[in-house]
Amino acid sequence: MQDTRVLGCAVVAALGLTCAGCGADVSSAKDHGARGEGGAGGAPPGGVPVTIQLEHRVGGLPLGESMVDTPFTNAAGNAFGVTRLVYFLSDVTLTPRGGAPAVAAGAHYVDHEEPATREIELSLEEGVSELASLTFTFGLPPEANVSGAFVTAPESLMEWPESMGGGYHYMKLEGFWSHGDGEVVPFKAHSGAAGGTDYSVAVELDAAGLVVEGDALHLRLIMNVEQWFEGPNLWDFRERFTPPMYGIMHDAAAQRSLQQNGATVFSLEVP
Amino acid sequence: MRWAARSSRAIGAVFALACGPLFTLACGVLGSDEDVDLDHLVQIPRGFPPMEVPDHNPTTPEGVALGRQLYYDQRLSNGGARACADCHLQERAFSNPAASGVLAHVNLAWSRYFLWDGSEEGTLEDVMRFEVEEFFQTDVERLREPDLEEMFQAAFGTPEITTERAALALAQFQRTLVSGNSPYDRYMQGDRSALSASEVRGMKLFYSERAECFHCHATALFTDNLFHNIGLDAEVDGTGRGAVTGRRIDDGAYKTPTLRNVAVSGPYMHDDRFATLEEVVDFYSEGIVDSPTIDPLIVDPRGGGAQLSRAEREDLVAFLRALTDEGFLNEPAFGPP
Ligand code: HEC
Ligand code: HEC
Ligand SMILES: [Cu+2]
Repeated sequence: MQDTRVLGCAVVAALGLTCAGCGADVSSAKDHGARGEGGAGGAPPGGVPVTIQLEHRVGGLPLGESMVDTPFTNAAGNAFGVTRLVYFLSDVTLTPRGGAPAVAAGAHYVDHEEPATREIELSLEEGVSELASLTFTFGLPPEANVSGAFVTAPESLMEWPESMGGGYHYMKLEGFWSHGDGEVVPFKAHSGAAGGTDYSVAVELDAAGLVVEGDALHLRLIMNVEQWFEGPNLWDFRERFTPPMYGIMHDAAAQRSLQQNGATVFSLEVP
Repeated sequence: MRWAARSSRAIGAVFALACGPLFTLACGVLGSDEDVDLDHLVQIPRGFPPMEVPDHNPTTPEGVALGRQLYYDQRLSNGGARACADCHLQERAFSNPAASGVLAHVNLAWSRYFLWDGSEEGTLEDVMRFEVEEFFQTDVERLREPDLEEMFQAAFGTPEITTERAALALAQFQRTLVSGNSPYDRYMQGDRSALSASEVRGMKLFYSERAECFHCHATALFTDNLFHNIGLDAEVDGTGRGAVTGRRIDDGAYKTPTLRNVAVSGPYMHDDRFATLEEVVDFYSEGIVDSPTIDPLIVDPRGGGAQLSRAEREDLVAFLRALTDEGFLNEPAFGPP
């Protein structure tokens, strides 16, 4: 029930882009939560189902379900705790060695607090034995990042104001951090196409050596949250999240910096 | 502020079919195919989400007419002499300056949580069942009069009168209370003369991180339909959404009200503590009180708020006033039958 609902929302969002019109058959699309074209939906029945489980960690530890009371001290010495993490991944593609890639086309909305959104399903061709890479766009590619593309919540709530360039947030990562004098202040690491410039991140993860065994494949895709602020660009919250706004939506340099750090934020594991 | 802050979230809709990114008329989502002339009953404004209508309660002219009758009919209340419309006044966007904490009825078709603490959850049918059966404790015997029997017959095919049917009809009427034609909307549709220079400045401020209004009063609905502690009080233990969910992090959080027609729906906040929009904007500017569960989207809780200049505050209020939809407030079809 939960799954159907959330995947369904993703379908609507995707349909919004292609304007498939009224009366789309939801049930036929819900298995892959993607635009039909070229997506995993095209995989032949009898393919190998792949489940990618998204996990969010801070300093190696899982982000608590309620995200309360878990301050973490980053490399710059700022203690922070996360209270909200929502973001888009687009066109998640699993490429095997010698075989057709499995694609979850379109945007996938993830909310840390909604477990059903933390799962992506793909289908690999039968006969594939070894993987090569997992690739995706963190955020939305420019052609999909168009105001009005998402009309239903929760995706629509990711809107990025026209006056700041339009489109949608790639990510809302929010919480509190200790300013050093015992007081705790907010931080709002919201990323998006600030001023209309594309800051989405092309992520490519090496999957060589991972082998498909049995009739299903489970992968774990991890966002190492602190890495947004650590490598290659080290963020000192005192310089980035400054009063009164404690936000960076207007800050092109901060967006570029997050984009650069984004390449090393994700890692892949086999559970 | 301590290490604990989180407003609860809710994924919006149970799911509806999309009809394209921007559309102006209701489509298949709204009711089933056989419904007559739906386009004239409910028009979905540009940029709004599709409206979801449960299969078992399609919107029909007869159902809407009955719902409207009941909304204005004192026979609905058990023994008492009150109607929904006694507290929910159309010219006040169905809020009320006199009764306390009355929530406006504006675009509720897109809500999934009702009442300030979200304690009623589900569809309009669900909240109307609560209103009829628990709040009004409707006595169906009082409704068994020829005029109403005729209307129940027209709406549901038989003259049988039940609280369930009353709730269904009220939900249908409520679905027609759609507001999306304010000067702001006309401006967004290309009429650059619809907003004054001050209102445009206020709009830019509204959609900036400096004022931060847009993250919560989001989308064309001007609400995210979620719950937040915006920093009204220092003591929040066991209040608001927290009293419903039992989660500490929801303490002090209340439903984000829409800002459409907010100029006429005062006084403001769940406890009516502000009489005017000026007071509300002063609050966001310098009256914020830090607390353990305050939302990080509130600007500078430690410094008391966004610290807007006098001119900025005036612009922001001017923009809020530009969200008034005169057509909605004066639509005869929403008034007494
Ligand atoms: C005595 C005044 C009064 C009367 C009469 C009244 N209401 Fe209300 N209504 C309120 C108040 C006050 C609230 C907000 C209460 C809260 O959130 O705890 C409210 C809230 C609501 C809400 C929730 C709106 C939202 O945004 O969540 C709905 C729906 C509603 N009323 C419908 C009705 C209907 C239908 C009737 C008639 C059956 C009715 N009301 C009669 C005072 C009244
Ligand atoms: C963190 C989310 C959030 C932000 C940011 C926010 N609001 Fe609100 N707003 C709310 C919630 C929640 C309420 C109801 C609070 C309550 O009654 O306890 C509210 C209430 C209001 C009200 C009163 C509405 C009514 O019907 O009573 C107005 C007006 C308002 N906000 C305007 C603004 C403006 C202007 C800004 C920007 C300066 C802003 N809000 C920023 C969430 C937010
Ligand atoms: Cu933002």
